[in-house]
This record gives sequence, C-alpha cells and structure tokens, in this order.
Amino acid sequence: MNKTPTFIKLLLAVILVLGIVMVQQPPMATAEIAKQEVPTNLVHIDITYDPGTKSYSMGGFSAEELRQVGAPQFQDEIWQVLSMLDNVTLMIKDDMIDIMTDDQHLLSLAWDGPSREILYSLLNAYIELGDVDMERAEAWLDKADIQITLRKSKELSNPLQIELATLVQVKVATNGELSVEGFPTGMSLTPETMALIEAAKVENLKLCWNKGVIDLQVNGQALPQATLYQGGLSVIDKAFGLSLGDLTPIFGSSFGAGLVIGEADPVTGECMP
Amino acid sequence: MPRFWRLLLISLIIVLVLYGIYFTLGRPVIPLPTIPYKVFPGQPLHAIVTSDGADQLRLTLNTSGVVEVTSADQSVVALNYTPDTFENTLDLGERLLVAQKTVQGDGDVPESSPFLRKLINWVIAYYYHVIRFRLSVLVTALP
Repeated sequence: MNKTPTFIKLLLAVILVLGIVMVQQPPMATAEIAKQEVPTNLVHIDITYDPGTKSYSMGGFSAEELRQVGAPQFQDEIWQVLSMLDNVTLMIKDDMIDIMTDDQHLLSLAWDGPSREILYSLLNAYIELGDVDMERAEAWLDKADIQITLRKSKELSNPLQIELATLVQVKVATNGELSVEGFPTGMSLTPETMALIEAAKVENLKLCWNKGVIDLQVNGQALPQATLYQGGLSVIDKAFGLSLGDLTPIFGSSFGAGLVIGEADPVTGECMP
Repeated sequence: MPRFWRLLLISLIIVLVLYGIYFTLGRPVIPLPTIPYKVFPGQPLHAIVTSDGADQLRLTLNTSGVVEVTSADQSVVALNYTPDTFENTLDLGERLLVAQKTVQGDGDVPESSPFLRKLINWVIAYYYHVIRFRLSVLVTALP
C-alpha cells in the first residue's frame, strides 16, 4: 500500500520535470528583421560586341547561345555606330537617367515622378496607355536600378544581374489567351488545359525564383519550397539531353510572376527573399 | 500494486525520460539504415543514375522536412516541407487528380477519405514534430 503512492509521486515528478523542460522555449533571436526600404527592381545587363565579326554577347550568354534562342542580329547601320564607340552606359537610378559614352558623361535626365508622368503622357499620345498600365509602370519604375553597358570587346559579357521585387503579372483569359502585364503574347492554353484548371479550381499562382530557390503558392496556399542546385542540374541536363547551356546568369537572378486565371484578382505581394 | 501496472509505469517513465533526453538534445534526426535499390540497363531510371558517371543516386527523406536527391555528393534538388505545405500539396494533387478524371470523362471520380487525409497529416506532423528519422534509398545502376 505504501509503495503505490511512491510510484505515482515518482511518475508525477518525472512528468513535471519533463513538462517544464519541454515547455521551455529555446532562446530565440527575437530581434526584428530590419525592415527593408521599398524593394528595388535591379537589372544590370552587360553587352560586349565585336564589330569585326558583327557578333555580340549579352548577360553572360555567348553569341552562339544567343543565336540559338533567336536573339536578333544588329543591322549594318547599328554596327557602324557601335564601331565608333568603345563603350556606352545607360543608368537609371533613383531620380536620374545618366548616359555615358567612352567614359564621358553625355547627358542626364530627371527621372522623378513628375518627369515620368510627362513620359507617360507622351506615350499616351501614341499608344493607348490606360490608368492600370500607368500603375504597373510606376510599380516597375518607381524604385528601379537599371544599368545597361555596351562594351567593345571580344570577351564574354558579365553575367546578367536581375533582382526584381515586382511580380510580373501574367493573365490567362477565360478563352485561354495569355497576356503579360496587359500585353497579349499571342500564345494561349489549350481548351483541355483550361478545363483541367477550371475543374481543379485553380484561380491564381505566385511563383518566385531566388537564385535557385523556388517558392510556389496556388490559390494563396504555399507548397513545399524547392531548391535547384546548378551543379546538380547538369545531371538532369545530361540525363535528358536538354542542352541547357550555361545557367550561371539565371542562378544569379531573382524574379517572380503572379498568374491569374479568368477574372480572379491580381496576385499581390513581392518576391523578396 | 500488481506487477503488470508496476511494469507499465516503469516502462512509461523510461520512455518519458528517454524522450526528455531526446527533446533536450534538440530532437536530432535518427538515421535509419540505407535501403539499396539496383536498376538495370534499359530501365528509365538507369539513364538518370549514370548521367554523371557516379552510377549512384541517393534519395533522402528527412522527416524534419527535407527531401533531397544527391548524385556523387552533389545535391541535385531539395524540397523543404512543413506539415502545412505538405497538406496543401496533397490538397492540390487530389484536386488535379479529380479534375483530370472529370475532364477525361472517366466517370469513376475517386472519392477522398477525410479520415485517410487526416491520418496522413497526423503521421507527417508526428514525424515532423515528435520523432525525426532519416531514410535513404541508394539507387545504383548496374553495368
């Protein structure tokens, strides 16, 4: 009779001790993540050209790789102009546009809100640029860091640097037609695919690529995060004979897209790591 | 106290103490023996396994939330999941499966069992939060 309470006491003591141990949370870093400023859309493109062979390399892709994906070739008039220059740099950053030629400052333009409005008005005169498109243009250009460098050189251009915080808005109409940022692409999904999407009740997708890490949300619900390794991708490349080429520029970039099907609301948010 | 109850209590205490130690150690992943799997020439997997010259591919399931494919110590792809994202994937997969059957007009649209769904989610959550294992399958290509 005396031993039973001892066991129960012991059991209770063990449960109590373990309970305290388990309830205690490990010391966690509670420092708030420093809030970033408004995310910037960064695009740095390096282009090297050789007027002798009339070939160019862009964003780390060789002339041959660009030809394979159908990149346009420059006309002779353009080659004549380029052969007279050693380098040209266009920079859009903060509220200024700067153009440099042969390391000399050629011109600077104001690129603040009012000056962009003038540009939109000018564009409005030639193409129908609705209010929504202006909103989108502001989403892209309000905080932009764009640098395009043209260099006369035979060497391979530097890898493309793309870090886009703004989501590329892709819309699939009810008839399957695909448009990007309001511009029709001429491509469309098959009726079978549309029927499948409709039956599965998929309304929107949010896809973010961040240097090999893929985050996907379907109807706002997050799916497991996938990480593709550049070295490992060569295994898949060899196995399936995909001839993917050098993917260094892609693995150094981050961007995302919001896809809306039918009349659902646009995907909001950003793709910042 | 009857012997049965005494044994049960002692066992329970031992289990609790062991789990307490496991928990205080940070719930480390317990590695299970690797399962070997051989693929013969001609099988679809053979081309993938032999593509990098190592003739080996390792699929690792870490129940703390990582599924990884490695080839000759080089990571190919990794999936990081949580019980929530796993449930979302199951939900999407089920909807796509039903949609495919509906579009193809198969008639036999599979009915999902809420109990089975919950059971799967519980199992995933248990091995994610409570006890964590690492299970590997080593796929070797035969010459």
